[in-house]
Parts: sequence; C-alpha cells; structure tokens
Amino acid sequence: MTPHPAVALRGLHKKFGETYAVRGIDLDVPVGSFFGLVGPNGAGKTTTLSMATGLLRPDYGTAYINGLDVWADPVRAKAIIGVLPDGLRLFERLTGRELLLYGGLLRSMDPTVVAERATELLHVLGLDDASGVMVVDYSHGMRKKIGLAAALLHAPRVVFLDEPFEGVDPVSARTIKAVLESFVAGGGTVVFSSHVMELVENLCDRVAVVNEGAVVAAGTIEAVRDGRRLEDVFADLVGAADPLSEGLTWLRSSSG
Amino acid sequence: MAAVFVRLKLRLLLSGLRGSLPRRIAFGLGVVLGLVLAVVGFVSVAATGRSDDLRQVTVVFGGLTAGWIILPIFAFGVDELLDPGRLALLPLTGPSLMTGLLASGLIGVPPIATLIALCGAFPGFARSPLGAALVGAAVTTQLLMCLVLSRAVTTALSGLLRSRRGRDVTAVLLAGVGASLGGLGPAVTAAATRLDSPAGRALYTLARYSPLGAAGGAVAAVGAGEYAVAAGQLALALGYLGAALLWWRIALQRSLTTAEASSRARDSAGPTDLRPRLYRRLLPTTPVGTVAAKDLRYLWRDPMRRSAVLATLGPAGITIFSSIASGAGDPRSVLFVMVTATMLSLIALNQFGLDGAAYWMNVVAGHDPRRDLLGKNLAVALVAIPATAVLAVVVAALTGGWAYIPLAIAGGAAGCGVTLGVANVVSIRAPAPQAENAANAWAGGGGGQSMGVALTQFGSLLLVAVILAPLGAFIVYSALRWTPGLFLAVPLSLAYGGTLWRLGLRSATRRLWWGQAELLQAIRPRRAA
Repeated sequence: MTPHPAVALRGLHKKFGETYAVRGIDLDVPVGSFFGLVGPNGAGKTTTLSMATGLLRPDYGTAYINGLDVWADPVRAKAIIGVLPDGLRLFERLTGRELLLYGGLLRSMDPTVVAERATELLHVLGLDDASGVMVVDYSHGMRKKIGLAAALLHAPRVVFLDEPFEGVDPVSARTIKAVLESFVAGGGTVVFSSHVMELVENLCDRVAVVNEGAVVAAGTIEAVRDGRRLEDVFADLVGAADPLSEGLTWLRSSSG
Repeated sequence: MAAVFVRLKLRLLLSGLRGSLPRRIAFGLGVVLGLVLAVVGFVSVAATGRSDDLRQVTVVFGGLTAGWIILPIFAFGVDELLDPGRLALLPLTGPSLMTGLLASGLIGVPPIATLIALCGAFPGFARSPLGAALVGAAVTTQLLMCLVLSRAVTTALSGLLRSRRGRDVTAVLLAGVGASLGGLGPAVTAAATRLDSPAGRALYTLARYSPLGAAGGAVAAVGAGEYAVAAGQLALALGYLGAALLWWRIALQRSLTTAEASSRARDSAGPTDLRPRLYRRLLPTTPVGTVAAKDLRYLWRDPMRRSAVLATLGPAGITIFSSIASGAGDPRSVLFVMVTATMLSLIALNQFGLDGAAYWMNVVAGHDPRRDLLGKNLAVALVAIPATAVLAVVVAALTGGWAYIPLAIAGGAAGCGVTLGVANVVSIRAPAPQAENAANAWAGGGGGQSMGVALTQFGSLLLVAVILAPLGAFIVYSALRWTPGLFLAVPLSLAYGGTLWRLGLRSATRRLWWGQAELLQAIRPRRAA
C-alpha cells in the first residue's frame, strides 16, 4: 500500500578525522519488518543509526523515513520516528515519569494523552514503582526500558534502537521483546542493532550485516543464512579467523 | 612512577590539541595569558623583597594559595585530565598514586605560571647560598601546597555532594564562602596593604601560621636574615603539606568508593507534573514551557547548578547589606540589587553543555530549536528577575527606597536580557562538555580544555560588562546628578535589554536551526583518560 519503504538509506558516508566510519551504506527497510543490523564493534552501526535519525549529519548521502528526507525535512520525518540511542544518556535528574512527560510535551502532544500513555508504558514495562525515582538511580535494565518507553510514547511508525538488549537481564529482555513484537504486529517497523546473533535470528525477519562501514549482506534472515547458523555466516562475512589457531598457549598450560 | 604519569599527561594534552584549530588557539591564548600573569607575579614577589615591609610576601603567598582553593570552585574547575577514578583499579600503593597525580598535576599552564611567579622570591629575598636553598625549599613547598589543597578541597566537596544531606550542606557552605568573599574581600585587601594596623597584624599572623602562608613566612624570614626562624616556618609548611596530602588521599578514597545517595522523589506513586509547583500556573504545557520546566527542575536538582545559584545569591545578599551598613541606609541602595539578575543569568553561558549528550531528546523531537532557547531563557529569567524583585523589596524595607524598586527590577531585567542574549550565542558557538561521573565534580569534561573554557567565560563576562556599561553609566549619573533620568531609565532599560536579547536569540536560532546535530556532537563528553 505505502509506496515508500519505512526506511531508505542512500549513499551514507561519514568520516571522523582521517578514518571512514561509514563508507557508502544503501539499505531499504520494508514497512512492518523487524530489521536487525549486525556487525562487529566499530563496524559503523551506531554511526549509521545516528545519521538515519538526524542526530549526526552525514558527509554525503541521506536517509528517508516513509519517503521523508530526515535532513531536508527534519520536522516531519522526526515526528514519525522513535529513537533509543547508543550510550543511553538521559536527563538523569528527572524522574522516570517526568522524563516521559518531557519527551511527549516536547512533541506538542496533548498533556492528558501524554500522562495516560506514560502511566500505561510505565506499567507495562514494570516501572510503576520507579516512576518517581530519578533516572540517575536506575539500573542499566531500567534505563533501557525507560528509554524504550520514551521512544514509543508518541506512537511512532518506525523505531530505531541501538543495542536495546545489551546488558539487560532476561526478564527485562522478555518484556522489551514482547513490546517490540506487538509494535511490529500493529504495523510498526523496528530497526535495531545488536551483536547477539541468536537474538537477531529469533526476532528478526530481515537482517543486514555491516562490516568496516559498508553493508556486506542484506535480505531476509533465510536468504542471508542460507541454511547455516547466522553466527557462522557472520564470521565468514566479516572475515574472522579461528581465534585460537595460534597463541595463548601459556593460558592453556597454566596450572590451576 | 611519576615519570610515567607525567608522560601520560603530556600525551593526553597533546592529543587533545591535535586536529582542532579552536582548541589550539584557546590553548595558545591561555599560555600567553599565563605567561603575562607569571611575569607580573614574578616582578611583584621580587619587589616585596625590596620593600620596607618584608612580611608582605607572607600575605602574598597566602593569597595565592587561597586563590588556588577558591577559583576552581567558583569559576574554572580543576584540570583533572587524569581522572583518579580511572587510576583506582591500578595496583598502585597510595604514596605512588599520590606522587603520580601530583607530578602530573604540575604539568599545565596554571602551575607553571605559579612557579614562575613564586621564583620572584629568589632575586627578592635570597641574599646568600643558604638563603637561596631555603627560598628554593619554601617555593617548592608553596607550589605543592597550592596544588594539593585545590585538589583536596574539591575532592572532599565532591564526596559531600554525593550524600543527600551533604548536597545541602555543601550548597550552604559554598554560599557562605561566596558571601564572606564578597563581604570580607575589600577588608582583607585593606588590611594587607597596611600590615601595621591591628587588622593587618591579625591577617599577617593568620597567614604565617596557617597552611596558606607558612611557606611565605619562611621566605620573609630568609629576607630578614633570620635563618633559624625560616627553618621553623619551613618545617611548619612541610607538616601542613603532609597533612593536606593525607586529607586529599582520604577524600579521594571516600569519593571513589561511595555511591551517590539515592534520591527518591517524595510523591513516588501519585501523578506528578514536570513543572515545579511554584511555577505550575505560570508555565504552559507547550514545548517552550516544557523546556523551561525541565531547566527549573535542574536548577535545583543538579548540585552544580544549585551551588552556582546559591553561591551567587550569597555574596549578592552580603554585598547589599554591607553597602547599606556602610552607606547609612541611602534609599538609592535599592539600585544595587540589579546586579544579582546579571550574575544569576551567567549560568546560561554553558546552557547546552550542562544538558550534555542527553540533549538528543530535544534534537530527535524535531521541533523548532528556537523553542529550546526560549524555554531555557525563560527558566533563567523566572529565577533571576523575581530574585531581584524580592531583594529590592527587602532593601527598600530597610532603607525606605520604595521609589527605586521599579528601576531596580527594570535594570535587573536589562542585565538578564543582555546576559541571555550573549549566552545564547556563546553557548552554541563555544559549548563546554561536562565530565561524566568523575570523582571530582569540578573536573571539566573538555579533555583538559579548562583553559579554553575559562577564556570563553571570561570573554563573555567582559562582553556583557561592555554592553551594559552605557546603561549602567546613565543610571549611576541619574542617581547622583539628574533625578528625572531615573524615570527615563525604566523604559530605557527594558528596551535595551529586550533588544539585545532578541538580537542574540535571532543569531543563535539561525545557527541552531542548521547546526543542532553539530551542537549535539560538541556537547558529548569526551573520554579523556
């Protein structure tokens, strides 16, 4: 029905000093997909997501959300995306609830709607008791959850999540997974980065493998995997050798 | 071990400068300024050795130490390029860690400038080889004392800031220190120039036997040829240095191993509002009102900002009351309070740097960035102008100068407007990232760029002063010579402040509209070491 893909990245480039973090990324994310962006550390996942969400200006190229150019028409494009960025830097001295109100009211939403949705999100994510506690006192998992709540509060059509499951306990991870799955079931699109292959295999219907700032494989999980384990395919694609083929003999021979 | 730390610090300093022209320029300006101050200091210290009263050097040394303790807290922060928190995991014994931190602390413009200034004691006071040796020991002790005390005090205060009660204690403490500086400053200066007066004698005794000027006392004794007295003073100074080192180490350990006290809001379950209760009726739930509400919350909840507000209000109060006391209740004293609004508004000079990387929430909300500026300005104005009004009423009640209240408030609004106009531009063009979770709350987050930050703040202050000077001159002239001018000054102040605020806002908005992503990158804290 929609002629545009949910997310379209076109020729994204970014250089930091003399090194390219991203060198020419083109990617289409169809509407309603659960999209995994995988790659080793330093592959350019965070840089790509930052450029796609208007947080980091690309040197060349641009990103489209439902056909809207993030860099030429930021106000309309940003209205339909939700973001959970890398590092989770939040306004530490607001309470969880205040943080959600802040995010919602900044987007000119109706205060009553914001308050209702905040209450509901806090409840679903199991943060009822922590709603009046400042974010500075939150645990890592709680921070991820309040960040996710802030990303979803305005009912975006596409959410970008940078490592949403990193350092999260299994119970919180289950909650996050359930919320995201219901979001996709309702027609939303999720783009998230991760380096946990099992998670990507279980959750996503599509995947892109990024290495050294470029896409080395993209498509449906089945197509990329081609009957093998995603982890092995990934290791082949990024050119990882057998880690213990040489060296570290002293570690194995040490007496206990 | 010390050599390793020194090399590490040099390496960090150099890599911080690499690839950034503005940083190199700021660093170069800092070096030039440091050198000028160092030469002035050298000549002044040398001159006290030729003066009639050798004791003055004790007071000079004491003042220098006091400056090293006070300035970092109120203005410049400390140069924690080597964050002790990152060194805590290394298998270092206490003494070698402290030696290393001390050695690396000696690398930098302020310590080297201080050393050059102190060396003025050689031509001034050393009249024999033995004298030169004693002066050398005293100068070294004095330099280390400055370094250790500034670190120990800020680290201990940071530790206090981590506990809930400590946060309030520290804020009050800082306000008190600020207040006494404002009130006592002129008296101390007066006493220092006339050491024979009773106040001067008391000041000298205090400086000589306290950690501040004990080493200076040794220098003075060398100049007088009393080598035994000099040796005694030196022993005292060394004792103080040892104690300060121990204090620093204990404060550091406590700061590194104590978690910040949890801060539960009172009404945990009930419906809460982002807007502080006091401002609930005033602020709309629009984006501008929302940004203002968050900044108002932060003014009180963020220990650094709260300390800044209290440290401003404290001295303002004391200065006002002392001027009333000395001016025998002149009704025109009401006009003094207008300075408070300007001082409170200075917090906006780094209004985006204080938000830090969390500012992404505003960027990703995709609204007109002008609303961020308007909201932030509104928050500052809602504190600065009412505070001025309250102080004006208090002073009017004491002096009967009710008629001056409108001008005091209008003048305060002008100061607030001009400062915010300048701050809007400066906070976007030269934002200073804050350190994250450092053991020392006063550590700058710019990766050793405290010099650039200090220069920016100083330059902005100067600009605000220059812009406000004509208006201030007109008000002072009217108050002294031409009463009708005081009526004219009310609309004039409002128009002047309003116009300059709008000019700053317009320039900043244009810049921010196309540079929000760049600003966000600039205020992300750098990981230095």
